[in-house]
Order: sequence, then structure tokens, then C-alpha cells
Amino acid sequence: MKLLPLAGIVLGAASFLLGIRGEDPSRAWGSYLVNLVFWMGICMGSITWVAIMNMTNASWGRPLKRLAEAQVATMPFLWILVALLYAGHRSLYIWSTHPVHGKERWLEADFLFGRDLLVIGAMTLVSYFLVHQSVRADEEKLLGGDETSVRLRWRRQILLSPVLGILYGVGMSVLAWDLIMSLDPHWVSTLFGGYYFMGGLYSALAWLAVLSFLFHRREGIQGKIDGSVFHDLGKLLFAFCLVTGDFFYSQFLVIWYGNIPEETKYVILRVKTEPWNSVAWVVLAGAFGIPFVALLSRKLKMSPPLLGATALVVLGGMWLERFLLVVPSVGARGQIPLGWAEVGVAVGFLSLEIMCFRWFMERVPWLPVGDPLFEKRWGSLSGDPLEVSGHLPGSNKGGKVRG
Amino acid sequence: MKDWQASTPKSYSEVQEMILGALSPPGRSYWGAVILCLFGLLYGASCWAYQILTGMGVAGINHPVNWGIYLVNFVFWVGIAHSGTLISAILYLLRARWRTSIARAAEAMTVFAVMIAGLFPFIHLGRVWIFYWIIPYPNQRDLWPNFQSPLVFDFLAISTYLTVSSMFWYMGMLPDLAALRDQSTGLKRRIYGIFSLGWQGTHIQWRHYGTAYLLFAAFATPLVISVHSVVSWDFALSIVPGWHSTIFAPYFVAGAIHSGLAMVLTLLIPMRGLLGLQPLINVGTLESIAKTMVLTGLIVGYSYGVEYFMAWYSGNMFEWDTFIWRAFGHYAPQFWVMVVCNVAGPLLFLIKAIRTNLIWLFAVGIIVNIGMWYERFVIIVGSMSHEYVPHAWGVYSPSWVELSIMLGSFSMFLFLFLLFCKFVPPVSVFEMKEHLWTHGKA
Repeated sequence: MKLLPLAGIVLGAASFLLGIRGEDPSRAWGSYLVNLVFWMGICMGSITWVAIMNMTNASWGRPLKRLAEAQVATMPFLWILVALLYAGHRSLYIWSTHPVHGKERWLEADFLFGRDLLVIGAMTLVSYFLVHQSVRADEEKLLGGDETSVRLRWRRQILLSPVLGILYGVGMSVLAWDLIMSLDPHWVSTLFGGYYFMGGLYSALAWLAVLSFLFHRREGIQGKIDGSVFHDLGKLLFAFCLVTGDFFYSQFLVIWYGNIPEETKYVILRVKTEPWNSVAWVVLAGAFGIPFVALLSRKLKMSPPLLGATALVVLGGMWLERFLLVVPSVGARGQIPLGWAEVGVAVGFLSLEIMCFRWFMERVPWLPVGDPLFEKRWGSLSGDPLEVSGHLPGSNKGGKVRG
Repeated sequence: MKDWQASTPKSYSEVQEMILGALSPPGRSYWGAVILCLFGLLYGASCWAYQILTGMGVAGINHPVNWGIYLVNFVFWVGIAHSGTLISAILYLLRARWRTSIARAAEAMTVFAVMIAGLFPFIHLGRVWIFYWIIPYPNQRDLWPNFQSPLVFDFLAISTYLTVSSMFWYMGMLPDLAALRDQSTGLKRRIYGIFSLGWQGTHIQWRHYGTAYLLFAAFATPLVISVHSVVSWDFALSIVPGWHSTIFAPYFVAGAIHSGLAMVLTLLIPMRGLLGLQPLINVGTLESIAKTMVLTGLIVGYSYGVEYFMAWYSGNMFEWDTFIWRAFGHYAPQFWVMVVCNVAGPLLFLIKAIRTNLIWLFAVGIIVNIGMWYERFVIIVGSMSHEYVPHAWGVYSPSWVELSIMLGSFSMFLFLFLLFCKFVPPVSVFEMKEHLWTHGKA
């Protein structure tokens, strides 16, 4: 079981390498970029979700805090993966071979990747400090450490949370403009950055719902992620479904009504032209229609398997949405380029995330016992360190707590 | 802060006495303020009458700026209306309990602001006596409004919002009106009796009430987002440089909440002092409003920045020229007032000493109100006066009639709010009791 994620990564790397050495390297790079922007949204959105919960004093979601924080482990790899994308910029970005008049300096590969790596690096560092303070507070609490130190760490989390929130909004917008919007360098939309980072938060919540379903019965946290937490998580997922739908519509309506050719061509290509129009309908159903109808039901929201299944539909819809943003601009015509090679690359990214998640959760307490908001709602659990510290099913590192 | 904490009500009867006590007969200064506002309102109304009798020429709007401060005020008042629903509905759904003590007053503000906002398109109309031509109903003239016009979306959105927010506000008051009925006598008892719709506080009534309140909150939430989105589309659906922008809907919604929260600070800080409600509307509550304003201020600042970046990035010379002109042209002072007041002003709230100081809270509230009014001015007037063709450029200044009607609108708002403070419980009695039950303190 432990080797499975590693095998997935090898499969992903092999699919990708075969792709870029084949006839159409841009197809492989396109697939790489789709997964990269999808997982960037999930990982950075997850930590930002924690920051939002900290800033709003939300106690209901505290048992989910560590599951969300685990995505910090993937972030350094995402930085490396963006750096690797530099190797494919000539296959992906038309501006690298045909500079756009007036934007030569902004859309210049070294500058673009330099600033993007800086942005991701900053987000990764702040996320790391935030999660570090959170984990250390729990460990100190479990080991009966100094209460003042635990409180100080909470204070630091409160200070870092707005910094990450601002960085997320601005940073993800820059990444959206650079990595996705510039694929079609003549097309602009002022909402595009906001649309991407809201979609990232939506996907992050869906991923968290899947993780919650998978681990809510795990020894140690059993009973903490209960029906009411799933209910609230479902409601929040529903709210983000509406916001994402609203952002899509706000962007679409203005472009449709304005009817300016340089704006409409981007939308027409995706929603009116074969073969992309069928993908667009699937995206609308998966990312908005199905979750909207499903999440109206209280019973569904309170049922872990049903909420998990709905979240999977959302994730599928959002993955395809990223696909629809990227791939039509990369130059694919005729058939939808969605074959085994794309599945392989997607499996590779998913496996990387799973591997990082496992690595992280094996080393930290599963419940944020040092978090005052957790304590406020669930009381102190500092009695037995083994009770709340981590080991995944099948792992032999149970109960390991750093001193 | 400490002096009134000691008097925080500890029992249901104390809560009830404190809130209903605020409705005790007012003094001369109150009536003086009411009469002053009434005069302002009548003055504004007479100026409108003058405009109807004389013609639209008395207003400063003319080619190329055909939308002047009437529509600036329209957008401003619709924006003010947003915080009420945010506080009473959205924060209710998010279980943010700090909203309990301010929800009623904020919702009242919403209803009054939408009423005033709804007047401005009529004031702006050339022949207001045939305004009903926009209503879609079968008629012998075979007139049908153009449903693809954002102005028709607007008419529908605002009227729906006014209906729902009024009902939400009124329904929320029923138990309190009944409480007022029960403790009054004579004519007052009969009037409150009529308005409390026979509320007896039975178990079934409370159950229906709880369901209805939740449903209204759930219904009002998307509605409030849609209203200012639709207002933003009055501009964004055109192709005027500076208006045609996809970010407009969320940007306008955030800006509306920003200005609405600023107005809540502006009105509630004096209100709590004058009515002796400090123990209920405490500094902690005002601090939460201030923190929310930091968020909305940042969203507004992000939108300003993104608009500039995209104007440059688009390579569209008209767009870029409009934005350069905004910052350095005829309306540059208004633009910089807008930026400083709306973005830099609320950032002061990052300092705890400022966001817990009543004078600072009040001052920043006023600053943001000014900034948000100028934001609408810069967007509306700034873009119209500097469109595509240079020989059609021109500037606009509001006439005395327009300014008087604007003064009338502010007077009307304050007039209605002053009446609200003394004739309706300004804080929800039963919700505060519920709060006391859950948290052990009001």
C-alpha cells in the first residue's frame, strides 16, 4: 500500500515524459499545466481555509484543521513543478515565440517565471510558518508544555493568517494571469484572478470533504468529525458552489453582452465550438448544477459518504474546468485530447498529493488540541498523547510525537 | 469600556427594560432633529417638484455626462442598503453571534436606503409621470420594456429587494411589537396590537417564526448579492471604457458592503449613546464591524489595482487613457479621495487601539462614506466625460437643484432613522434574550 503512491508518481512521470518526447509535446505540457493549476488551487486554498477559520474564530471546523493543513507538505513540490514548467514554456505559451506588442517585458519567460516562483515561494513559506506554529502548539500541549508558549503560538497563527489571506488573493491572481490567462495573450478579464482563487477555495473544500469522509472514523479523531461538522462543511461547500457559479456568470454575462470580438472569441471557443462545448456542459453540471441540487439536502450534507461523493463530483467538475481553461488555448483542435496519457499525468499528481499527505499526517497530532477554539468546543484532550497523535492505517509510525 | 461593562444586563427582564426603555418619550432635542430633517426632506422634494415643472435643464446633466449625481446617489444608497442584509441574514447563516444587537437597526437602514435609492431613477427620468411604461403589463399602447436592458433588470432587482428586506425586517419585529403592545395602554396598545398581527408567543407561532426567519435569511442572501451585481451591470454591460469590466459585480457587492458597514458605524455609535444601549451594542461588536471593513476595504483596493493592471495589460488605448485620466485628469482629486478614504482609511483598523476607540470608529466610518460616494462619482462621471471620441469629451458639475435633492435624500434617511429609533425597538429583544440564554450574557 505504501508503495502505491510512488508507483503512481512513476506512472505520471513516465506518461508525461513519453508525451513530451512524442509528436505533440504541447499536449503533454498542457496536461501538466492543468494538473498543476488544479492542485495549486487545492493546496494553497486548504491552508488559506485554515487561515480564514482562524480569522473568523470559527470553532465548528477545528477537527478538520489538521487534514487541511496537511496540504502544506505538497507546496514545495508545486514550487519545483512550476520551475520545471519553464522547460515547456515554448510549447505552451505563444508569446514566448511571438512576443506581443506592448507586453514584451511583462510576458517574458524569465521575468514571468521569476515572479511566479517568488509568489509561490512566499505563499509556501508563510503557510509553513502558520502550520508549524499550529503543530508545535499541539505537540507542546500534548506533552504538557508551557501554557504561555501554546498561547503565544496561537497568537502567531492569528498574526500570520491575514498575511496568508492577502498573499493568497494577490498571489493566486498573478499566477492565474501568468500561467492560464496568458495562454491567450490577447484575451483579458478583470475577474479572472478572483475566479481562479475562488475556484481554488471551492476545490480545497471539496478535497477536505473527501478527506473527512475517508478519515472521520479513524481512531483518535473518531466522533470529533461528526454529523454536525459534515453538515457545516456541506453548507460551506454549497456557499462556495454558489460563489463560483456567480463568478462564472458575472464574467460570462459581461462578455456576452459586450460582444467585443477579442473577448468573445475566448468564450465562443469553449462554449459554442466543437468539441469543447460538450466539455463545457459537463463542467457546468459537475462544478455547479449537480452539487447545487445535491447540497440542498440536509440529509446528504450530514451523511459522510454522500457528501464525500458529491465532493468528488465537484473535484471532477473543477478539474475539467481547469482543463477547459488551459487546453483549448494550447492549440488542440479536432478531438478532445483526453486519453490514457492525460489520465497517467493526473494519477501522478494525485499520487504526489497522497504521498505528501501521508508523510505529513504520520508525523503530527491529528487533532489541534493546542488550539483554543478546539478546546472551547471539545474540551481539553491533552490526557493521552497516543490518543490523538498520528498514524495512518497500515503505518507503523503510530504515536510518534516530536519533543 | 469598563464603565458600562458592569451594567451588562444579566436577566431577561433587564434586557427587555433596557431596550424598551429606549422608547421612552423623547426630549426637545430629538424633536428638533426630526423637524430639521423634515425640512431638509421637504426642501429636496420641492426642488424635485421645481425640476418636474421646469424641465430637466435645471439639472447639470447634459451631453456627454448624461448620468450625473442622481445616479451616483442611486448607487450610493443601494450600496448602503447592503450591510443590513449582510448583518441580519448572511451573518445569521454564518452563526456570527455578534450581529444580534445591531441586526435590527442595520436592517432598518437597509429598508430606508432602498426606498431612497428607488426614488433616484424616477428623479432622473425626463417624464416621470409616465414611469409606469417600464412595468411589463399588457396595455393598449403595445408597449413592452426591453428585457435585455439592464435598466429593466434593475427595476426588478430593486423592487424585489425592497419587498423582501421590508418583509424580513417587519417579520423579525413581530415578537417585539407584541411585547410593546403588552406593556402599553390606550391608543398605543391598539396600534402596536394591529402591527403585531396577533402574536401571542405560542409554541406553534415560535416554530413557524423560526422556520420563516431561516428561509428569509436564505432567500435574502443571494438576493442581496444579485442586487448590486445588477446595479454594476448597468455599467459593465456597456462598452464604455472604465465600465466594461468583468470584475464589476463582485467589486460592487464588496464596495456596497463596505459603505453599508461604514454607515452602520456612523449611525450606531451616536444611537447607542443617545438611547443608552452601550451594554448591548458594545465596543466588541463595533470592533467586529471594523475588522469586516478591513476585508471589504482590501477587496475594493484589489479591484482598483486589478482594473489598472488590466487596462494596461489589455493594450486597449481607450481603456488605458480613461484610467490615466481618472488618476491625473479633471477628476483626479475625487479619484485620490476615493483611494485614500476607501483603502487606506479602513487599514487604520488593523491597529487594535483604533478599532476599539469610538471616536476613531466614527471618524473612519464617515471617511469611508465620503470615499464610497466619490467612488461612484469617479466611475459614473469619470467614464462618461472621457469616452472614445476626443471632441465629445466634456466635464460635469452638479447644479444646485441636484445638490439640493441629494441633501433631501440624506435628510429623508436621517428622518426615517430617527423615527425608527423611538417608535420601534432598536434592538431585537427576543434575540438578545436568546443570546443571554446561550452565552450567559447579553
